[in-house]
Amino acid sequence: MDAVRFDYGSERAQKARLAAKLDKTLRTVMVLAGVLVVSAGVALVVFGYAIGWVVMTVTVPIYMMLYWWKKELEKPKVRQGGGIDGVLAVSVLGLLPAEPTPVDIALAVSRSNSGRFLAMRFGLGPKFLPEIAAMLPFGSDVIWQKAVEIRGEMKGGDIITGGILALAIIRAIPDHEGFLAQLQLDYEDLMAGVKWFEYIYYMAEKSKEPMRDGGFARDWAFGYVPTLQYFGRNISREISVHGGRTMSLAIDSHGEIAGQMMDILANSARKNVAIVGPSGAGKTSVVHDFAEKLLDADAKIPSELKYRQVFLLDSAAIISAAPGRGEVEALVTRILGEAHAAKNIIICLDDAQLFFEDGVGSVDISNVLLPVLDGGNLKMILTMSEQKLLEIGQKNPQILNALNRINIESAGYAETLAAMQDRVLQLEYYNKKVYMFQALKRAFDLSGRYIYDVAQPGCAIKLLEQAANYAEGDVITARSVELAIEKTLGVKVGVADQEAERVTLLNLEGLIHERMINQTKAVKVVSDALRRARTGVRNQNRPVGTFLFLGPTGVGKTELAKALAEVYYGGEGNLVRVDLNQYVTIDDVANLTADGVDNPNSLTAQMMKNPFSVVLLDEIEKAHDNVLTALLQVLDEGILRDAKNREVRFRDAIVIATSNAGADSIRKFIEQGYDISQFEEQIVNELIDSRQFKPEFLNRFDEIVVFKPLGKEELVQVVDLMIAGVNKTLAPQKVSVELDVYAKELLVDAGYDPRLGARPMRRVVQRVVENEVAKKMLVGDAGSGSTIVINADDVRSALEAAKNY
Amino acid sequence: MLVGSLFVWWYGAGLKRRAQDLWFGLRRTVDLFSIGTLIVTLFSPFKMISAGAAPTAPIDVQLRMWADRLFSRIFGAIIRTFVIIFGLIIIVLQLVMVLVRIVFHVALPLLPIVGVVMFAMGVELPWTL
Repeated sequence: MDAVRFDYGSERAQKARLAAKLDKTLRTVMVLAGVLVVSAGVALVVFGYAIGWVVMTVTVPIYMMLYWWKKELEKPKVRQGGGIDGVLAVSVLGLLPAEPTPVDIALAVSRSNSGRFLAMRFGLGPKFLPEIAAMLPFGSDVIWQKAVEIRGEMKGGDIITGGILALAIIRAIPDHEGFLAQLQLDYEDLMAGVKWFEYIYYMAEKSKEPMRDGGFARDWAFGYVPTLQYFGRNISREISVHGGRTMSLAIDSHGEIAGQMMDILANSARKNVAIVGPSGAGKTSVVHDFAEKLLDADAKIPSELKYRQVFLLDSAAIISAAPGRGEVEALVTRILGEAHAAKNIIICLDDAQLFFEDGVGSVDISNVLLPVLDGGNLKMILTMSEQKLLEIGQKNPQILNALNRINIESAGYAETLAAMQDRVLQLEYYNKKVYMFQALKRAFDLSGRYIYDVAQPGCAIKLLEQAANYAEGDVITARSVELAIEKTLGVKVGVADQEAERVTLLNLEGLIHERMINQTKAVKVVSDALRRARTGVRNQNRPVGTFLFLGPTGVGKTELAKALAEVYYGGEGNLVRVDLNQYVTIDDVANLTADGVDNPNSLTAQMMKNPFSVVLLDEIEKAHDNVLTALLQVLDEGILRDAKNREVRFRDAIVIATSNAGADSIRKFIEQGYDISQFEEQIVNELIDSRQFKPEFLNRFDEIVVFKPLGKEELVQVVDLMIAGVNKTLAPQKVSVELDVYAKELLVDAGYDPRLGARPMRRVVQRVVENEVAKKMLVGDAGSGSTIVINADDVRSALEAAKNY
Repeated sequence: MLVGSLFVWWYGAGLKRRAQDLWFGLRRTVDLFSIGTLIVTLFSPFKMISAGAAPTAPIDVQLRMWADRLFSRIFGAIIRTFVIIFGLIIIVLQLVMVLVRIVFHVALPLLPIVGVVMFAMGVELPWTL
């Protein structure tokens, strides 16, 4: 039989059409009609009319029809080996005409639950599918064929749902990947969306079957645990009361870990499990999954573990109830004794380090716990991070030896997506808002990049929770997630799409030159790098740009970094400056990567707080070789590991290193009248030859830009910029300053130093112009709305006066 | 054709489905009363009263514990027996209901004929208004 043939007249198709006709309204009418007819029949019989017997039986076909719908028509059995109608979801099949065109299929899909689910989760309008189906150059056979292929690829079921048909229609587009890229989607995303729907459908069906959990007399043969109940949380009871099927076993590796736990706790001599992994990886969730599994009468579980209760011990409650050391130990001994005597308790020490170290909210009771862990008489589960386990092991190696360790790793994309899809259903229920698929994907991407100390999937789920506060209407989009990151971390992550930002990017050079004179090439390479970054045309695994600015002092190297921070990153506050002349010994490498708690000014600590910034590595030639080696990874991969071995990212930063090395050569070339840009390579070679920099270090930069000293004409422009700065300061007092040409030239002559570039200029302007303005304002020569004109004589006399200080 | 399909389904897959649903309901009741567990633990101490006696405790303490456990076992056995009996009664009643519902399922399509016959015979209630 042809698998892609559509048989309109098949029994399954007829049943599907009948099911479609029996919609909710009609079914409600039928129920009401049935009740009325029975009532009427009863009334007739009661009043002595025998016709009432006939009237009552009219409800029989109504009841039979409704029962048929509920048990069969709603979900008719799949019929393999026939045409496509044998495997099509009934919600689509019932809406198809005798000879469906691709548009008919698309319309039916759009009206099906899975089609609506896809449209909602991906933000596709209701006309999206019919419109693209109308453009397809072939008939329905191709769509059926592709749907069968997709079903085969996806595994996990026989039914071709509306979602699979939607995928088939999209896959039938000749350049479907390109088409989807315009919607910022890819085929895999849609596939994940279809799987998501199927998973929810499966779980909804499963939840209709109540869990058998052993009944009310299940625990009668086990002991009372009054003390434990006071100092612990019975998560098994919470699962029983609030219902199981938490759906958190969506992560395959968590299911495997729950299986391993079962194996160890049932068969190992030491009946304990230490789940070791980073925060956010799902250690506590695994314990919940495990507890839920133990309560399931239908699950295959060793009898030793069946219906066992998992208690989370509350360290804070124990410490507050027993403040003295001996008291804590006595209380814990009593609790554990009670648990042992009860015979159906598994104790879980969540964040187990709280029971192995003294501190605020923690207490070291390892002398009590060690014999229990070692003896294996009481089943115990411990959760902690790798670091904490090592610390405990260092202090007391016996504990390390007594534990059966299971590692839990940070989840990858697929597992994190599955965990998010689970969690989102609960979040949507509480927030009454809908999460789009793109929001989930963006949450994975951004949380991994910007949230430290929390592993996946916890990290992405945390971000999704925050994103609910930035919903657009009742929908949480990728932009909501970006806003959550931007508002909570101050990180700018959205792709340039707003008109104002687009204009800024296109006019970046002009904006920078509003506060920078000349250095056109440097400004251009940096501007190009930013445009590439903000339009997504760059390597995402490196910093936005890495530049080495070479040149004498006072030519604008630092100023360009500041200008960039202001123009692009929104203020000079987004400049992370590291003076490398403070990193001249081998020990200083540690300061560069120190933990923020120990040194908030370390490079890694500053970057964790401000990942979207200009990193200015000033006077790089003075840094120790080991410091430069540590920075290689920053330039190469955009990451640097801190003292806690956390990966700190520089992938949204522009890294600018400045150096005066080679300044003498640059000045020499300029004095001889050469164009410096022709000698850049020679200057770099000289730096390598003179061993000031290693070639592998210089090669890591995107661009090495040589800044040339400023000429007299450019210095006049610098004076203009400084005067503009003075006028900005005076603006609130409605006073402005003007200098004539000769006054400016005099200032340039006084302020220019061949060794220091334009740097002394600010001091001169401050002395001459600002003093002059202050004086005139004090004697009353400059009132509101006036313009103070400073001529050459004023400058000359001010300079003379300054000499006499 | 659909009417034919309905009848075929009613006495085939529909009847099987009805029996299956009733069977699941029966299993849930058995689970609710923990019948299996109660039978297995019929003579176990009830809620493990005094189960924590250390083997090194003085003989008089151990004797008292033993007596406590014995009382606990007897008390537990009585309670469990009652629950088992009560549970079994419920299960038997439910089983009867299952049979009634299956018979009803089989007879339901015939009820219109019964109705017509009763009308033709002019059957009336013993009391009418």
